[in-house]
Amino acid sequence: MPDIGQPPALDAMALARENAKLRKINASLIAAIERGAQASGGGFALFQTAAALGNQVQERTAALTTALRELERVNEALKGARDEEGQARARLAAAIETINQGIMLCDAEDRVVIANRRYREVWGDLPAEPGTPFEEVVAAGACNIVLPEGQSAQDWRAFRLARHRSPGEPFVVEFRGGVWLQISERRMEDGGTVSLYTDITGIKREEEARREREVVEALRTANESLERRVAERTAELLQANIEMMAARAEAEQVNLAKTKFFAAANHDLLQPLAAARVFASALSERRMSPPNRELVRHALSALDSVDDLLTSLLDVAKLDAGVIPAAPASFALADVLRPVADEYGMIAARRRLRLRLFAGDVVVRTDPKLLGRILRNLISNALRYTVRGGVLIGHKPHRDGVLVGVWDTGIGIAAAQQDEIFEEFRRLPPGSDCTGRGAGLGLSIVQRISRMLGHRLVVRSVPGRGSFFGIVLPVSDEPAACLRRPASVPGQLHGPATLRGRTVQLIDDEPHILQGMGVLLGGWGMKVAGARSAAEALQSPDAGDAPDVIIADYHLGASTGLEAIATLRRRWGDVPCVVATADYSAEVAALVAAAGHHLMHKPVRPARLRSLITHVLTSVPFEA
Amino acid sequence: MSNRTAAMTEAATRASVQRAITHARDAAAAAAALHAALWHPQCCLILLFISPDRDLDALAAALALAFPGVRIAGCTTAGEIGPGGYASGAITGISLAAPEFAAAVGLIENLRAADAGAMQEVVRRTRLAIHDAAPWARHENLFAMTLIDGMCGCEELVISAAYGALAGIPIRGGSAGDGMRFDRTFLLHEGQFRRDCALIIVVATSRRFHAFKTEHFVPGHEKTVVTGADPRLRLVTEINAEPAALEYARITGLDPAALTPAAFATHPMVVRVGDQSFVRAIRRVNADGSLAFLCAIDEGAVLTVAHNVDLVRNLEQVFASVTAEIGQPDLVIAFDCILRGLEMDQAGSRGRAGALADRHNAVGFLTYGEQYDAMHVNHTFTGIAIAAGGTDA
Repeated sequence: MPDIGQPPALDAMALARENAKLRKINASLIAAIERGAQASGGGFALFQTAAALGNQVQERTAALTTALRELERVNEALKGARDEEGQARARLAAAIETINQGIMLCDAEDRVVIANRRYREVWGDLPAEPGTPFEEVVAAGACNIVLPEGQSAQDWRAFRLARHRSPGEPFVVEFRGGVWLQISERRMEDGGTVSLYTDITGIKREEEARREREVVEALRTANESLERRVAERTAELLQANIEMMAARAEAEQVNLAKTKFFAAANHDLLQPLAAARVFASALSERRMSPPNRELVRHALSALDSVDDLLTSLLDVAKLDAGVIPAAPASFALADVLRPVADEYGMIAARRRLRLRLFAGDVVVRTDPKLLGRILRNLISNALRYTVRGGVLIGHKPHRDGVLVGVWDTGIGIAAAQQDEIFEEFRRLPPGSDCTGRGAGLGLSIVQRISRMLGHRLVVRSVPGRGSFFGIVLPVSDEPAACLRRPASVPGQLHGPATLRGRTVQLIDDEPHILQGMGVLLGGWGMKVAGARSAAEALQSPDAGDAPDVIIADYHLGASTGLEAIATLRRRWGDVPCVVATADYSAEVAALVAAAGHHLMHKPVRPARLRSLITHVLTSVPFEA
Repeated sequence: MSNRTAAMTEAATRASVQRAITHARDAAAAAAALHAALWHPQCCLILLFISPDRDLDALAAALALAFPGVRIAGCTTAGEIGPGGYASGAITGISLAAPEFAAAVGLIENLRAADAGAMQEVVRRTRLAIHDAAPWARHENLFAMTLIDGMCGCEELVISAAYGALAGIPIRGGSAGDGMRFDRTFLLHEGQFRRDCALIIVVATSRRFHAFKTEHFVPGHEKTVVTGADPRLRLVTEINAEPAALEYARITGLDPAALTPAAFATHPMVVRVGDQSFVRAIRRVNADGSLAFLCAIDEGAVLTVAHNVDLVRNLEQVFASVTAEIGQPDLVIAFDCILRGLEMDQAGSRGRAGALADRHNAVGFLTYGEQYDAMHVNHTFTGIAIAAGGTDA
């Protein structure tokens, strides 16, 4: 500030300078005031605002305190002087209007004393007139709020009234439209209640957003754990699957072992027997004295019985072991009945029995080969126990399809015995006239096969009149498959003369089979060359000319008869071939058929072999 | 004895509120000393006030080793307050433990770049976190503290955002210090010392507490006007259309060649808002004769030179009113202006003031500025006083 007592010239200069400073101060002040009005940011503005705000907060706090004091005073006044009520109410109203929250005051009888404007803004048109019972306020308000889950409007009202009568912690209410209110209540000294309604929508929304995030997180975690469980479960299933597959492989291994056993049994038991039969049969063709011939005939008969027995025993064992696979097909019943009937024609004729066949036009579904075995067993049984009359092979309609079987005029079976006949080795005492004895296994085999195929076995018998044995087959709607005609053809159709002078090449790695077959075929007038392998056959001095027929064993040590035949045919061209095997499997049959050869199952029956060779030499191969 | 039983026994013998001071220079030794004094099995917050002359990285590592999994917040100082009173070159601290206390800490990063919205978001999240940590806490159980980089120059923005988002719960705090260097200040958060950031600490307690602020000056009569300023740098170039430093010296009667922090401390300038005065503290005189301030300033601001009254007597009055409010406090978290520290040194009253603070269990630090609800101010003594246990709010 300028000093007094300077020289006038200086004084004037100082005044001018002071004047300039004051103008600047003035400008700064005006700028600051104008800036303040704009409320623009900046640290100092913020500071000023905060400071001013602090003052305002203090002022408001003071106002609120004053209002509440006023409230108390007014309440006192209300109680004391009713004539002053109007005035007191006005002052009260003025006091509570200064509060920036919804507020409602109820008296000790729970009637509305007063509510402020903010309250009415929040609750809309709800009754809030002085004197309204609070219960009515709540009942009307229940329409506006979102009821907590599982609560009826009734429940809500009860809850709300209870809270109002004994106020506790503040609680929260959601309005339709998403507004949230926190309601805090306090009991006043005169028994009345003051209710404060604070809008907390903002806070609530934040909370909800946070909960949503938490739920999403929880879902994600749950999902992860679910995925993990699925993965674990999958791994378990995979493991179980692997174990199952191992178990199945093991079972298959056991099955394979069984099959091998039976194939071996066939080979080791039946092959020597077949050889013996071949030798005996060859012997019987020789010229010899009648007593010797009778001996040979008995020997042959005994061998036949042993052969039957062993074959049947193996059949039973195979059926029990489940190693015979069933291959059901739809086919014309006659295609199986006719050849089976043909097989037994000669035997029946020999026993002077009539063998008749009724084969109508019907398509059935079952395994044709196994059906053939059932029928053969039934026919040979029927022939065995029939002395006079005849045997009918045929069928007739049945409720469940078609009844196929064998009728005979034999000795019959008493009802009491009809269960026993299916037991192994059970034979009826043949009548004095009956000839030939079965092994007693035929019906056991029939029963096992029909059980395996799921066909019902039917027995009807009257002692002294005759019997019927048969099975019920399902009729098929499908077109009948073309069945291969069996290679065996009744022997009597071909005379021995057709074989005389024809050449045959035998291939078998068993020397005694080669020897026996050589004797048998030679007995029929054939020229026989035997070799243990194709190579050996081709090294023989006679190898230059192709034989009329080749008979090769399927199992030739490490190689097969099919390979041997292929080697021989490369030298000799398309010579007809017969493959002999003890393997009854469908695979081998299919392989032989595919190569276009004839299949002959071991053990070799001379009659069947003879008719087959005759057939091969007199006809072209009947199928590819 | 199982760990759990051991922890329970420890909890029974250890107090929910603990105070510590260490002068150890070595980081590991300091951490060990703090651990011995502050550790609690149910600790929810450790606050540390750290002399800036320490190897901060080594200290952070040592603390992480000593307090695995414990939430530690803190800052560097211009002097520490703790057991024994005022200190220098020390580390002081407190620990608060459940179930009487719960705490949540929010970090606002990139202060200079952050806007009010981003700051408020951090504060809101911290506020929600405290509700998770202490579902029992009601509005009256909460208070907040701020620790802000003392060289950021934007405390007003932070405190204004915090106050807006905390909806009226009391806030006290301080700007971190760097001794008398005014160079770099650091905040400790999640095991790291950082700059250019602020910490918002919200505490819930079942104990009674009292947030206070005091100053010890009376405004004089001579008014001056800031006629030249750079508000961004908190710089005043002209007062009354004269170079700022010269005009300040003239008004206060100080020697223009001896304008030291101690002089600023004894001759504060205040602005008046409403009927209250707030100190605008001067940090230093620049070579060009401008004045650097520790808080917001702008052109057109009317500054009045104020006269200090007796600081210690004023302090006595504050503690008396605190005690009247909540009884002998178990803890006073104190934020005291560095300029007051300088004034105490000049007046030789630091010892008496320190004894007074210690008697009331004060722990805190000398700041580059104090936060008080929505305001950033200087030349004040602010804080939160916490009542002794068993006196539930």
